[in-house]
Amino acid sequence: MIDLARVQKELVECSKDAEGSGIKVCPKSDNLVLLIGTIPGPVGTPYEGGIFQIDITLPDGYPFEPPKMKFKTKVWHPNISSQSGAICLDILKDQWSPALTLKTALLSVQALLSAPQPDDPQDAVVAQQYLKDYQTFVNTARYWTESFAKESSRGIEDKVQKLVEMGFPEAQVRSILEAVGGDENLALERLL
Amino acid sequence: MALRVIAISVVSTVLSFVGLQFCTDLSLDKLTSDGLVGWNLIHLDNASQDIELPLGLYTTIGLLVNCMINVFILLNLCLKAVFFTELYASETRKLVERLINYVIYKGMFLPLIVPPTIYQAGLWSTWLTVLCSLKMFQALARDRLERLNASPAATPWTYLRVYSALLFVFMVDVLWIRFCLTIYRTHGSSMYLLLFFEPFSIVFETLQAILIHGFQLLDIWLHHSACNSNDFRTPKLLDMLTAGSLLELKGILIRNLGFFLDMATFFMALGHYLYIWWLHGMAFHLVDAFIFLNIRALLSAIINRIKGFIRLRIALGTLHAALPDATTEELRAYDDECAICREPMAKAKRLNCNHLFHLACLRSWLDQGLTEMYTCPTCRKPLFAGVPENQTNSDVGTISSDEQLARQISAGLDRPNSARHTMPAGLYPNQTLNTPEGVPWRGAGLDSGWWHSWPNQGVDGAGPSTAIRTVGLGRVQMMMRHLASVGETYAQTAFEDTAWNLWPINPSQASASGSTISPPGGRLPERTGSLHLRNASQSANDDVANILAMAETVREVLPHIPDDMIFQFSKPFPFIREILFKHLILGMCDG
Repeated sequence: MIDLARVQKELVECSKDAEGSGIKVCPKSDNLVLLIGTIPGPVGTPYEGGIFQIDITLPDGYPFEPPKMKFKTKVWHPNISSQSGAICLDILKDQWSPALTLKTALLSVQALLSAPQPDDPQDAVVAQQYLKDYQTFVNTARYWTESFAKESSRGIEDKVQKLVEMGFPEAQVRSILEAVGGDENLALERLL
Repeated sequence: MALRVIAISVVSTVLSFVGLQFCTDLSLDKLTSDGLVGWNLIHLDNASQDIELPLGLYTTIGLLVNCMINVFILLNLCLKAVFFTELYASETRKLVERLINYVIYKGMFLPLIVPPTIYQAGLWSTWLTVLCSLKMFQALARDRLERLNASPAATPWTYLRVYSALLFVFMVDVLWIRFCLTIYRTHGSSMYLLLFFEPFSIVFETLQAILIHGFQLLDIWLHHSACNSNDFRTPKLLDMLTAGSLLELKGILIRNLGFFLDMATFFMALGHYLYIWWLHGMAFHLVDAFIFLNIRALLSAIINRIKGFIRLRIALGTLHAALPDATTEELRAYDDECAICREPMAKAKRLNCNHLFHLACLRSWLDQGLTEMYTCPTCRKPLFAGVPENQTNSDVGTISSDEQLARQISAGLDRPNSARHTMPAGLYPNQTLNTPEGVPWRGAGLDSGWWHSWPNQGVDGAGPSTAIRTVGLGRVQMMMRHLASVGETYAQTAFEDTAWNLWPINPSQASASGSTISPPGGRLPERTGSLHLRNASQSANDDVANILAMAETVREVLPHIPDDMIFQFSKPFPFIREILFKHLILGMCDG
């Protein structure tokens, strides 16, 4: 049985600090088991300026079992699968501790973007490129960030504009778009 | 509308069943009149037939039953609208499944024991219908409360409205039990005892749901109040203590009272089936097989619940005994929430790294067993590795003066003597108390050869100087080990240096003795122990005096005693003089 009181407290804590850190967590639907996390790309890395979305699923044993996280936004990183978005991070596996929270887990994922570990790769192709041809890796990572992470952000802005022009309040539009993971049709259904 | 259709179907099923019961059990003489009654009940709306029938009473009864059924259905629909407003598709589907299961398992055994009369059929049908409605409302309330608990948009008012359904079911059930008691007293037959089992089962089950979701409602209400009253800052310590005590109380109540209510529910259901079997004459027909299956399922559930409860108690007890409780001062100084559940702590367990957690949270963390070694959730320090250090600290407390050190050494000497007196003269007990354990070995062959030379010389009746030298060496090493156990860094260094200093003499001793045989590793301590014991028995008093003198000498070396005094004390023992000289050099280096 998930400790829902703790999850609610974590969501409140994340929303308080969302302006400063840029890390957000919100429910995907009307339950606390499926969540969407959002992290900004770290400054000084090829991922700078990108907004990366992460699917979060809380197991029944949470907080004694680690949350299941994977990237929804495509990202070029040695420790993140470019195909499935699976993340290779020890605190999401055997090094999980119940004192960690969703926010600290997302911070660790953000730190992983800053400091890749090619010796323990999730994506062998990216890791090999990182080791043998670093400049190409940087260019590819930046290109993927421009193509997917920023496009996702720009797409959200366009959808917000469309829905605001329909007459809905902007704050509500943004929160619902985040909740449905950027799907304009689902957001429209929920607004009506 | 769906619920209305379901209820009508259930009632029609019961009525058809009763009619079928009439046809099969009536005698030949009453066949005509009772058949007319059954036919009349089924075709209530046929006015022309009613006029032709000679029995007007049955028509009245039929119409009355029809009216009551409609009132009951209307009442159920109103209550559903009040408590649940609108059912989800999954809730409707679950409701239908539960309804069918309940009618089959609770209703199919009644014809076995109920006399075939109109009054009995009406009574037991009403009983079954009312209990069925209560059961369905209770199940709906629990499902809805679970759904609301998992929803971040739940408000205290929404929760309270659904929670009221549980309270309503409980009150109606209590009234129904009182009504059944009235019926039982009126008739006085043992068969009517069957009326009580199922209502009591529903009472206990509803009480458990009221207990669990009552705490949930309280949590939601407190959370909502905290969000609304951000401006009003209540004292933090008071909030922490109150909420923490509430959390502990919640855990205890849900764990123990929940177990009791579960057991009561199971035993009431079991009693229901056993009593039916008893009323049926303790027979072994085909129909009884279904009763046995139900009884077996209930017994299995009871056993599993008891096993789970016992396992939980054992785990909590073990964890409770292994870790110390945090004192009130520690809780106030910590001034933080439990890092696992983010709730205030009124009582907590303190780990060796001085982090505090709830006992229940720690138990859940250990139950997961994600890693092979259990660690502190905050700093990942091993949970139970610090226990020997605690024992060491307690040992440090006991050794508070040099006099106690000397007394311990004397006690160590006296024990082998007393042990030897109780043994036969020709037998030497294996006393490892005097064996210098923990001495690091460097180069197995050479070291073993050197160490082996001493016992051989002793056994061969070597000179007294050799024997005294061996005894002195053992005592010095024992003193060094005691000093090392105190935990002082300098003593530890001295002990290691003493061990290192022994080996330069090794080549000369090995060449002098000429013995290169290496004894088995397991037998060496035994041999050395015997030798020490024999020497100790010969000159116990002299050894005590020598050890005290050497202890005093070693103690005086630490504050940098002049060389001439050292030479005076260690003149009879040239080997010891070299050790003391090394200590002096170390002392100078530290100074």
